Amino acid sequence: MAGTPLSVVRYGFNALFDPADIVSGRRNQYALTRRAKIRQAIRLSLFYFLNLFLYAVPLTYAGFGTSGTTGQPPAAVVGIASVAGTNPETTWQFLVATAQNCTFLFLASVLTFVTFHVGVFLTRNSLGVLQSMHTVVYSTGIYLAAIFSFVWYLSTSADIAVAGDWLVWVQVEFIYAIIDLAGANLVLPAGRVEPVSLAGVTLSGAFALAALATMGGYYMYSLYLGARINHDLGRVSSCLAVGFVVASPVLFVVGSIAGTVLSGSAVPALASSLVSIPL
Amino acid sequence: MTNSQQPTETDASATDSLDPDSAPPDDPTLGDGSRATSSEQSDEEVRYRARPTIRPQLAWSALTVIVGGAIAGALFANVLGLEDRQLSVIGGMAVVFVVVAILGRLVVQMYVLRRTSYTITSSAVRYEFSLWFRTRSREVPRSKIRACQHERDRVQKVFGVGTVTVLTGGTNASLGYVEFSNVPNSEAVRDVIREQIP
Repeated sequence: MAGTPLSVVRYGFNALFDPADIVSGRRNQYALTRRAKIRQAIRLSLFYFLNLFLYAVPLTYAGFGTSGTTGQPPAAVVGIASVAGTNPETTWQFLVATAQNCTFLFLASVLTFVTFHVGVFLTRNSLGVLQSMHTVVYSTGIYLAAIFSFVWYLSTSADIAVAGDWLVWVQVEFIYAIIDLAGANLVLPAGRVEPVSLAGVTLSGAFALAALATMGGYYMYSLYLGARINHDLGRVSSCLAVGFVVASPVLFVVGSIAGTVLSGSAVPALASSLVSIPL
Repeated sequence: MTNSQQPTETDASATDSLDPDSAPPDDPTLGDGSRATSSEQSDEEVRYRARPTIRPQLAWSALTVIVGGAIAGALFANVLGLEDRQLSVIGGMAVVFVVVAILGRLVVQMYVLRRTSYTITSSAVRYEFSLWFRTRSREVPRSKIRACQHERDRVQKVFGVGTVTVLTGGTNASLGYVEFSNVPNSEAVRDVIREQIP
Protein backbone atom coordinates (compact mmCIF):
# COMPACT_ATOMS: atom_id res chain seq x y z
CA MET A 1 0.00 0.00 0.00
CA ALA A 2 1.25 3.48 -0.80
CA GLY A 3 2.00 5.82 2.08
CA THR A 4 4.61 6.62 4.68
CA PRO A 5 6.01 3.81 6.83
CA LEU A 6 4.06 5.27 9.77
CA SER A 7 0.78 5.10 7.85
CA VAL A 8 1.50 1.47 6.97
CA VAL A 9 2.14 0.68 10.65
CA ARG A 10 -1.04 2.51 11.60
CA TYR A 11 -2.92 0.60 8.93
CA GLY A 12 -1.63 -2.72 10.27
CA PHE A 13 -2.50 -1.63 13.82
CA ASN A 14 -6.06 -0.75 12.78
CA ALA A 15 -6.41 -4.05 10.91
CA LEU A 16 -5.86 -5.88 14.21
CA PHE A 17 -7.36 -3.52 16.76
CA ASP A 18 -9.85 -1.35 14.87
CA PRO A 19 -11.37 -3.07 11.80
CA ALA A 20 -14.11 -0.42 11.72
CA ASP A 21 -11.54 2.19 10.75
CA ILE A 22 -10.36 0.00 7.86
CA VAL A 23 -13.71 -0.82 6.26
CA SER A 24 -15.64 2.40 6.89
CA GLY A 25 -16.00 4.61 3.85
CA ARG A 26 -16.51 8.35 3.71
CA ARG A 27 -20.11 9.05 2.92
CA ASN A 28 -19.46 12.40 1.35
CA GLN A 29 -17.44 10.62 -1.33
CA TYR A 30 -20.39 8.45 -2.25
CA ALA A 31 -23.04 11.17 -2.35
CA LEU A 32 -21.43 12.79 -5.40
CA THR A 33 -22.04 12.96 -9.14
CA ARG A 34 -22.02 9.85 -11.26
CA ARG A 35 -18.63 10.78 -12.68
CA ALA A 36 -17.16 11.12 -9.21
CA LYS A 37 -18.62 7.78 -8.20
CA ILE A 38 -17.06 6.12 -11.25
CA ARG A 39 -13.72 7.70 -10.36
CA GLN A 40 -14.03 6.38 -6.83
CA ALA A 41 -14.92 2.91 -8.15
CA ILE A 42 -11.83 2.95 -10.37
CA ARG A 43 -9.68 4.04 -7.44
CA LEU A 44 -11.02 1.20 -5.30
CA SER A 45 -10.46 -1.30 -8.11
CA LEU A 46 -6.87 -0.18 -8.63
CA PHE A 47 -6.22 -0.44 -4.90
CA TYR A 48 -7.71 -3.93 -4.92
CA PHE A 49 -5.66 -5.18 -7.88
CA LEU A 50 -2.49 -3.74 -6.40
CA ASN A 51 -3.14 -5.68 -3.19
CA LEU A 52 -3.96 -8.79 -5.24
CA PHE A 53 -0.67 -8.51 -7.09
CA LEU A 54 1.26 -7.98 -3.85
CA TYR A 55 -0.40 -11.10 -2.49
CA ALA A 56 0.26 -13.27 -5.56
CA VAL A 57 3.90 -12.38 -6.27
CA PRO A 58 5.37 -14.03 -3.12
CA LEU A 59 3.24 -17.13 -3.80
CA THR A 60 4.64 -17.30 -7.31
CA TYR A 61 8.20 -16.95 -6.05
CA ALA A 62 7.46 -19.79 -3.60
CA GLY A 63 6.64 -22.02 -6.57
CA PHE A 64 2.86 -21.99 -6.58
CA GLY A 65 1.06 -21.99 -9.88
CA THR A 66 4.08 -23.00 -11.93
CA SER A 67 3.01 -26.54 -12.80
CA GLY A 68 2.01 -27.52 -16.31
CA THR A 69 3.09 -26.15 -19.66
CA THR A 70 2.50 -22.54 -20.55
CA GLY A 71 3.24 -22.68 -24.25
CA GLN A 72 5.30 -20.21 -26.23
CA PRO A 73 5.47 -16.69 -24.85
CA PRO A 74 3.69 -13.99 -26.88
CA ALA A 75 5.74 -11.45 -28.81
CA ALA A 76 5.07 -8.68 -26.32
CA VAL A 77 6.51 -10.76 -23.49
CA VAL A 78 9.57 -11.64 -25.60
CA GLY A 79 10.09 -7.93 -26.22
CA ILE A 80 9.81 -7.02 -22.55
CA ALA A 81 12.09 -9.88 -21.54
CA SER A 82 14.77 -8.81 -24.02
CA VAL A 83 14.68 -5.26 -22.65
CA ALA A 84 14.77 -6.50 -19.04
CA GLY A 85 17.49 -9.03 -19.83
CA THR A 86 15.47 -12.04 -18.61
CA ASN A 87 14.59 -15.33 -20.24
CA PRO A 88 11.30 -14.95 -22.21
CA GLU A 89 10.00 -18.40 -21.26
CA THR A 90 10.77 -17.89 -17.57
CA THR A 91 9.15 -14.47 -17.67
CA TRP A 92 6.05 -15.87 -19.39
CA GLN A 93 5.84 -18.74 -16.86
CA PHE A 94 6.13 -16.23 -14.00
CA LEU A 95 3.34 -14.07 -15.44
CA VAL A 96 1.04 -17.05 -16.02
CA ALA A 97 1.70 -18.40 -12.52
CA THR A 98 1.06 -14.97 -10.98
CA ALA A 99 -2.21 -14.68 -12.89
CA GLN A 100 -3.20 -18.16 -11.71
CA ASN A 101 -2.37 -17.31 -8.09
CA CYS A 102 -4.43 -14.14 -8.39
CA THR A 103 -7.38 -16.07 -9.81
CA PHE A 104 -8.58 -17.84 -6.68
CA LEU A 105 -8.46 -14.81 -4.42
CA PHE A 106 -10.08 -12.76 -7.20
CA LEU A 107 -12.89 -15.31 -7.62
CA ALA A 108 -13.40 -15.45 -3.87
CA SER A 109 -13.55 -11.65 -3.76
CA VAL A 110 -16.08 -11.49 -6.59
CA LEU A 111 -18.21 -14.15 -4.88
CA THR A 112 -17.98 -12.20 -1.60
CA PHE A 113 -18.97 -8.95 -3.31
CA VAL A 114 -21.94 -10.47 -5.14
CA THR A 115 -23.30 -12.34 -2.11
CA PHE A 116 -22.67 -9.42 0.26
CA HIS A 117 -24.39 -6.89 -1.96
CA VAL A 118 -27.30 -9.24 -2.68
CA GLY A 119 -27.66 -9.74 1.07
CA VAL A 120 -27.62 -6.00 1.70
CA PHE A 121 -29.94 -5.34 -1.25
CA LEU A 122 -32.49 -7.83 0.05
CA THR A 123 -32.72 -5.89 3.34
CA ARG A 124 -34.01 -2.99 1.16
CA ASN A 125 -31.70 -0.58 2.94
CA SER A 126 -28.75 -0.62 0.58
CA LEU A 127 -27.04 2.74 0.14
CA GLY A 128 -25.36 1.75 -3.11
CA VAL A 129 -22.92 -0.52 -4.89
CA LEU A 130 -19.97 1.71 -4.05
CA GLN A 131 -20.47 1.15 -0.31
CA SER A 132 -20.43 -2.63 -0.83
CA MET A 133 -17.41 -2.33 -3.09
CA HIS A 134 -15.54 -0.35 -0.44
CA THR A 135 -16.39 -2.92 2.22
CA VAL A 136 -15.38 -5.94 0.15
CA VAL A 137 -12.19 -4.39 -1.28
CA TYR A 138 -10.80 -3.74 2.18
CA SER A 139 -12.09 -6.87 3.90
CA THR A 140 -10.88 -9.24 1.18
CA GLY A 141 -7.69 -7.28 0.61
CA ILE A 142 -6.65 -7.78 4.20
CA TYR A 143 -8.52 -10.53 5.97
CA LEU A 144 -9.34 -12.92 3.13
CA ALA A 145 -5.78 -12.57 1.85
CA ALA A 146 -4.56 -13.39 5.38
CA ILE A 147 -6.80 -16.49 5.40
CA PHE A 148 -5.40 -17.63 2.06
CA SER A 149 -1.86 -17.00 3.33
CA PHE A 150 -2.41 -19.12 6.43
CA VAL A 151 -3.91 -21.93 4.34
CA TRP A 152 -0.93 -21.73 1.99
CA TYR A 153 1.44 -21.89 4.98
CA LEU A 154 -0.41 -24.90 6.42
CA SER A 155 -0.37 -26.66 3.06
CA THR A 156 3.32 -26.18 2.35
CA SER A 157 5.14 -26.28 5.67
CA ALA A 158 6.72 -29.68 6.28
CA ASP A 159 6.78 -29.11 10.06
CA ILE A 160 3.02 -28.93 10.43
CA ALA A 161 1.89 -31.83 8.27
CA VAL A 162 -0.92 -32.94 10.61
CA ALA A 163 -2.59 -29.51 10.61
CA GLY A 164 -2.24 -29.26 6.82
CA ASP A 165 -3.70 -32.74 6.27
CA TRP A 166 -6.57 -31.99 8.66
CA LEU A 167 -7.38 -28.82 6.73
CA VAL A 168 -7.49 -30.73 3.44
CA TRP A 169 -9.69 -33.38 5.05
CA VAL A 170 -12.14 -30.69 6.30
CA GLN A 171 -12.40 -29.22 2.79
CA VAL A 172 -12.96 -32.63 1.20
CA GLU A 173 -15.58 -33.57 3.80
CA PHE A 174 -17.35 -30.26 3.21
CA ILE A 175 -17.59 -30.92 -0.53
CA TYR A 176 -18.72 -34.53 -0.03
CA ALA A 177 -21.34 -33.43 2.49
CA ILE A 178 -22.91 -31.24 -0.19
CA ILE A 179 -22.55 -33.96 -2.84
CA ASP A 180 -24.31 -36.44 -0.53
CA LEU A 181 -27.04 -33.93 0.31
CA ALA A 182 -27.61 -33.30 -3.40
CA GLY A 183 -27.76 -37.04 -4.01
CA ALA A 184 -25.24 -36.74 -6.83
CA ASN A 185 -23.02 -39.67 -7.67
CA LEU A 186 -19.80 -37.71 -7.99
CA VAL A 187 -16.25 -38.24 -6.74
CA LEU A 188 -13.25 -36.00 -6.28
CA PRO A 189 -9.97 -37.01 -7.99
CA ALA A 190 -8.45 -38.16 -4.67
CA GLY A 191 -11.64 -39.89 -3.62
CA ARG A 192 -12.84 -39.87 -0.02
CA VAL A 193 -10.07 -39.09 2.44
CA GLU A 194 -9.66 -41.03 5.68
CA PRO A 195 -10.52 -38.91 8.76
CA VAL A 196 -7.48 -37.04 10.06
CA SER A 197 -7.07 -36.68 13.80
CA LEU A 198 -5.43 -33.65 15.36
CA ALA A 199 -3.89 -35.80 18.11
CA GLY A 200 -0.37 -35.44 16.69
CA VAL A 201 -0.60 -31.75 15.83
CA THR A 202 2.43 -29.65 16.79
CA LEU A 203 2.25 -26.34 18.67
CA SER A 204 3.02 -24.48 15.44
CA GLY A 205 0.23 -26.32 13.67
CA ALA A 206 -2.25 -25.61 16.46
CA PHE A 207 -1.17 -21.98 16.51
CA ALA A 208 -1.60 -21.67 12.73
CA LEU A 209 -5.06 -23.25 12.82
CA ALA A 210 -6.11 -20.96 15.68
CA ALA A 211 -4.81 -17.93 13.77
CA LEU A 212 -6.71 -19.13 10.67
CA ALA A 213 -9.93 -19.40 12.70
CA THR A 214 -9.31 -15.92 14.15
CA MET A 215 -8.78 -14.43 10.68
CA GLY A 216 -12.03 -16.08 9.58
CA GLY A 217 -13.75 -14.34 12.48
CA TYR A 218 -12.13 -11.01 11.57
CA TYR A 219 -13.26 -11.44 7.97
CA MET A 220 -16.88 -12.00 8.98
CA TYR A 221 -16.72 -9.16 11.50
CA SER A 222 -15.25 -6.73 8.96
CA LEU A 223 -18.13 -7.51 6.56
CA TYR A 224 -20.59 -7.03 9.42
CA LEU A 225 -19.02 -3.65 10.23
CA GLY A 226 -19.13 -2.73 6.55
CA ALA A 227 -22.85 -3.44 6.44
CA ARG A 228 -23.49 -1.45 9.64
CA ILE A 229 -21.28 1.54 8.93
CA ASN A 230 -21.37 1.91 5.14
CA HIS A 231 -24.99 0.88 4.59
CA ASP A 232 -26.32 2.02 7.96
CA LEU A 233 -27.96 -1.35 8.56
CA GLY A 234 -29.17 -2.63 11.89
CA ARG A 235 -27.59 -5.58 13.68
CA VAL A 236 -29.99 -8.23 12.34
CA SER A 237 -29.82 -6.98 8.74
CA SER A 238 -26.03 -6.89 8.89
CA CYS A 239 -25.93 -10.46 10.20
CA LEU A 240 -28.21 -11.50 7.33
CA ALA A 241 -25.89 -9.90 4.80
CA VAL A 242 -22.91 -11.71 6.32
CA GLY A 243 -24.95 -14.93 6.34
CA PHE A 244 -25.19 -14.70 2.57
CA VAL A 245 -21.41 -14.51 2.33
CA VAL A 246 -21.00 -17.48 4.70
CA ALA A 247 -23.35 -19.46 2.45
CA SER A 248 -21.34 -18.61 -0.68
CA PRO A 249 -18.95 -21.61 -0.51
CA VAL A 250 -22.02 -23.85 -0.42
CA LEU A 251 -23.43 -22.05 -3.45
CA PHE A 252 -20.09 -22.39 -5.21
CA VAL A 253 -19.96 -26.15 -4.66
CA VAL A 254 -23.63 -26.59 -5.58
CA GLY A 255 -23.00 -24.69 -8.80
CA SER A 256 -19.99 -26.86 -9.53
CA ILE A 257 -22.00 -30.03 -8.92
CA ALA A 258 -24.81 -28.81 -11.16
CA GLY A 259 -22.36 -27.94 -13.91
CA THR A 260 -20.69 -31.32 -13.65
CA VAL A 261 -23.95 -33.26 -13.72
CA LEU A 262 -25.15 -31.29 -16.72
CA SER A 263 -21.88 -31.88 -18.57
CA GLY A 264 -22.11 -35.62 -17.90
CA SER A 265 -18.78 -35.85 -16.07
CA ALA A 266 -18.26 -37.81 -12.86
CA VAL A 267 -15.74 -35.42 -11.37
CA PRO A 268 -16.82 -31.97 -10.23
CA ALA A 269 -13.96 -30.06 -11.80
CA LEU A 270 -14.46 -26.70 -10.12
CA ALA A 271 -15.01 -28.15 -6.69
CA SER A 272 -11.99 -30.43 -6.99
CA SER A 273 -9.82 -27.38 -7.69
CA LEU A 274 -10.73 -26.16 -4.21
CA VAL A 275 -8.79 -29.03 -2.72
CA SER A 276 -5.80 -29.24 -5.04
CA ILE A 277 -4.43 -25.79 -4.12
CA PRO A 278 -4.97 -23.50 -1.15
CA LEU A 279 -8.67 -22.73 -1.32
CA MET B 1 -8.44 22.02 7.70
CA THR B 2 -8.62 25.72 6.93
CA ASN B 3 -11.93 25.77 4.99
CA SER B 4 -14.30 28.01 6.88
CA GLN B 5 -17.11 25.53 6.25
CA GLN B 6 -15.29 22.79 8.13
CA PRO B 7 -14.29 22.49 11.74
CA THR B 8 -10.66 23.36 12.23
CA GLU B 9 -8.09 20.82 13.20
CA THR B 10 -4.71 22.05 14.23
CA ASP B 11 -1.45 20.75 15.53
CA ALA B 12 -0.81 23.22 18.31
CA SER B 13 2.59 23.33 19.94
CA ALA B 14 2.78 22.30 23.57
CA THR B 15 3.22 25.90 24.70
CA ASP B 16 0.16 27.12 22.77
CA SER B 17 -2.20 24.33 23.75
CA LEU B 18 -4.64 24.14 26.56
CA ASP B 19 -2.84 22.22 29.29
CA PRO B 20 -5.11 19.24 29.95
CA ASP B 21 -3.62 18.86 33.43
CA SER B 22 -5.28 22.11 34.41
CA ALA B 23 -8.74 20.56 34.02
CA PRO B 24 -10.30 18.97 37.07
CA PRO B 25 -10.32 15.17 36.58
CA ASP B 26 -13.77 13.78 35.79
CA ASP B 27 -15.68 16.72 37.28
CA PRO B 28 -17.37 19.17 34.91
CA THR B 29 -17.05 22.88 35.36
CA LEU B 30 -20.29 24.47 34.41
CA GLY B 31 -21.52 27.92 33.72
CA ASP B 32 -19.65 30.06 36.19
CA GLY B 33 -18.54 32.40 33.42
CA SER B 34 -14.88 31.95 34.25
CA ARG B 35 -12.58 33.79 31.90
CA ALA B 36 -10.44 31.90 29.41
CA THR B 37 -6.77 31.38 30.05
CA SER B 38 -4.23 33.49 28.28
CA SER B 39 -3.78 30.72 25.72
CA GLU B 40 -7.35 31.26 24.45
CA GLN B 41 -8.98 34.26 22.74
CA SER B 42 -9.53 37.14 25.16
CA ASP B 43 -13.27 37.41 24.52
CA GLU B 44 -14.00 33.70 25.05
CA GLU B 45 -15.98 32.63 28.09
CA VAL B 46 -15.32 29.05 29.15
CA ARG B 47 -18.62 27.34 29.83
CA TYR B 48 -17.39 23.80 30.31
CA ARG B 49 -14.09 22.01 30.63
CA ALA B 50 -13.39 18.42 31.62
CA ARG B 51 -11.50 15.28 30.83
CA PRO B 52 -13.13 11.97 29.91
CA THR B 53 -13.22 9.05 32.29
CA ILE B 54 -11.75 5.63 31.47
CA ARG B 55 -14.00 3.70 33.86
CA PRO B 56 -16.20 2.24 31.08
CA GLN B 57 -13.08 0.96 29.29
CA LEU B 58 -11.82 -0.59 32.53
CA ALA B 59 -15.19 -2.26 33.00
CA TRP B 60 -15.18 -3.59 29.42
CA SER B 61 -11.62 -4.87 29.93
CA ALA B 62 -12.63 -6.72 33.07
CA LEU B 63 -15.69 -8.14 31.31
CA THR B 64 -13.60 -9.25 28.35
CA VAL B 65 -11.05 -10.98 30.55
CA ILE B 66 -13.71 -12.71 32.65
CA VAL B 67 -15.96 -13.85 29.81
CA GLY B 68 -13.15 -14.57 27.34
CA GLY B 69 -11.12 -16.32 30.00
CA ALA B 70 -14.07 -18.48 31.00
CA ILE B 71 -14.78 -19.50 27.39
CA ALA B 72 -11.11 -20.18 26.67
CA GLY B 73 -10.76 -22.13 29.89
CA ALA B 74 -13.80 -24.22 29.08
CA LEU B 75 -12.43 -24.98 25.63
CA PHE B 76 -8.96 -25.88 26.95
CA ALA B 77 -10.64 -28.26 29.41
CA ASN B 78 -12.74 -29.72 26.57
CA VAL B 79 -15.98 -29.08 28.43
CA LEU B 80 -17.87 -29.75 25.19
CA GLY B 81 -16.49 -33.30 25.23
CA LEU B 82 -15.21 -33.25 21.65
CA GLU B 83 -13.74 -36.53 20.45
CA ASP B 84 -10.73 -34.70 19.01
CA ARG B 85 -9.50 -32.83 22.09
CA GLN B 86 -6.96 -30.80 20.14
CA LEU B 87 -9.80 -29.17 18.19
CA SER B 88 -11.15 -27.78 21.45
CA VAL B 89 -7.69 -26.54 22.42
CA ILE B 90 -7.33 -24.78 19.07
CA GLY B 91 -10.72 -23.16 19.65
CA GLY B 92 -9.47 -21.96 23.03
CA MET B 93 -6.37 -20.47 21.42
CA ALA B 94 -8.53 -18.61 18.90
CA VAL B 95 -10.58 -17.16 21.78
CA VAL B 96 -7.37 -16.03 23.49
CA PHE B 97 -6.27 -14.24 20.28
CA VAL B 98 -9.59 -12.40 20.11
CA VAL B 99 -9.42 -11.46 23.81
CA VAL B 100 -5.89 -10.07 23.34
CA ALA B 101 -7.03 -8.04 20.32
CA ILE B 102 -10.00 -6.59 22.25
CA LEU B 103 -7.82 -5.76 25.26
CA GLY B 104 -5.26 -4.12 22.99
CA ARG B 105 -7.96 -1.90 21.52
CA LEU B 106 -9.30 -0.96 24.97
CA VAL B 107 -5.80 -0.14 26.26
CA VAL B 108 -5.23 2.19 23.31
CA GLN B 109 -8.62 3.83 23.89
CA MET B 110 -7.76 4.40 27.56
CA TYR B 111 -4.38 5.83 26.61
CA VAL B 112 -5.99 8.28 24.20
CA LEU B 113 -8.76 9.26 26.61
CA ARG B 114 -6.27 10.01 29.39
CA ARG B 115 -4.64 12.55 27.12
CA THR B 116 -7.83 14.20 25.90
CA SER B 117 -9.65 17.25 27.22
CA TYR B 118 -12.98 18.85 26.25
CA THR B 119 -13.80 22.53 26.31
CA ILE B 120 -16.94 24.51 25.49
CA THR B 121 -16.52 28.26 25.22
CA SER B 122 -18.91 31.00 24.20
CA SER B 123 -17.63 30.79 20.63
CA ALA B 124 -16.64 27.17 20.01
CA VAL B 125 -16.64 23.54 21.03
CA ARG B 126 -13.23 21.92 21.15
CA TYR B 127 -11.41 18.75 22.08
CA GLU B 128 -7.67 18.47 22.49
CA PHE B 129 -5.48 15.43 22.50
CA SER B 130 -1.85 15.43 23.63
CA LEU B 131 0.59 12.77 22.59
CA TRP B 132 4.30 12.92 23.38
CA PHE B 133 5.29 16.50 22.60
CA ARG B 134 2.45 17.46 20.30
CA THR B 135 -1.08 18.60 20.95
CA ARG B 136 -3.84 18.17 18.42
CA SER B 137 -7.12 20.05 18.70
CA ARG B 138 -10.37 19.88 16.80
CA GLU B 139 -12.75 22.80 17.10
CA VAL B 140 -16.22 23.59 15.82
CA PRO B 141 -17.13 27.29 15.80
CA ARG B 142 -20.48 28.03 17.39
CA SER B 143 -21.86 29.36 14.11
CA LYS B 144 -21.30 25.96 12.43
CA ILE B 145 -23.08 23.82 15.00
CA ARG B 146 -26.24 22.30 13.51
CA ALA B 147 -27.21 19.56 15.93
CA CYS B 148 -26.16 17.64 18.96
CA GLN B 149 -26.34 13.88 19.55
CA HIS B 150 -26.27 12.13 22.91
CA GLU B 151 -25.58 8.40 23.28
CA ARG B 152 -25.09 6.16 26.24
CA ASP B 153 -24.51 2.41 26.29
CA ARG B 154 -25.30 0.20 29.26
CA VAL B 155 -21.81 0.39 30.74
CA GLN B 156 -21.64 4.17 30.36
CA LYS B 157 -25.02 4.43 32.09
CA VAL B 158 -23.67 2.57 35.11
CA PHE B 159 -20.88 5.12 35.48
CA GLY B 160 -23.08 8.11 34.69
CA VAL B 161 -21.17 9.10 31.56
CA GLY B 162 -22.11 9.36 27.92
CA THR B 163 -20.98 10.40 24.46
CA VAL B 164 -22.01 13.77 23.11
CA THR B 165 -21.45 14.48 19.43
CA VAL B 166 -21.57 17.94 17.91
CA LEU B 167 -22.70 17.83 14.29
CA THR B 168 -21.98 20.39 11.63
CA GLY B 169 -23.84 18.95 8.67
CA GLY B 170 -23.38 15.18 8.56
CA THR B 171 -22.85 12.17 10.72
CA ASN B 172 -19.59 10.99 9.24
CA ALA B 173 -16.25 12.04 10.68
CA SER B 174 -14.98 13.33 7.37
CA LEU B 175 -17.78 15.87 7.16
CA GLY B 176 -16.77 17.47 10.37
CA TYR B 177 -17.83 16.74 13.88
CA VAL B 178 -16.48 16.81 17.40
CA GLU B 179 -17.19 13.96 19.76
CA PHE B 180 -16.95 14.07 23.54
CA SER B 181 -16.53 10.41 24.54
CA ASN B 182 -17.04 9.16 28.10
CA VAL B 183 -17.84 12.65 29.31
CA PRO B 184 -19.10 12.94 32.89
CA ASN B 185 -22.52 14.51 33.40
CA SER B 186 -23.19 14.08 29.69
CA GLU B 187 -26.80 15.28 29.74
CA ALA B 188 -25.76 18.59 31.23
CA VAL B 189 -23.02 18.87 28.61
CA ARG B 190 -25.58 18.20 25.89
CA ASP B 191 -27.75 21.01 27.28
CA VAL B 192 -24.80 23.42 27.29
CA ILE B 193 -24.05 22.58 23.66
CA ARG B 194 -27.71 22.93 22.71
CA GLU B 195 -27.57 26.49 24.01
CA GLN B 196 -24.76 27.07 21.52
CA ILE B 197 -26.83 26.05 18.50
CA PRO B 198 -27.63 29.23 16.57
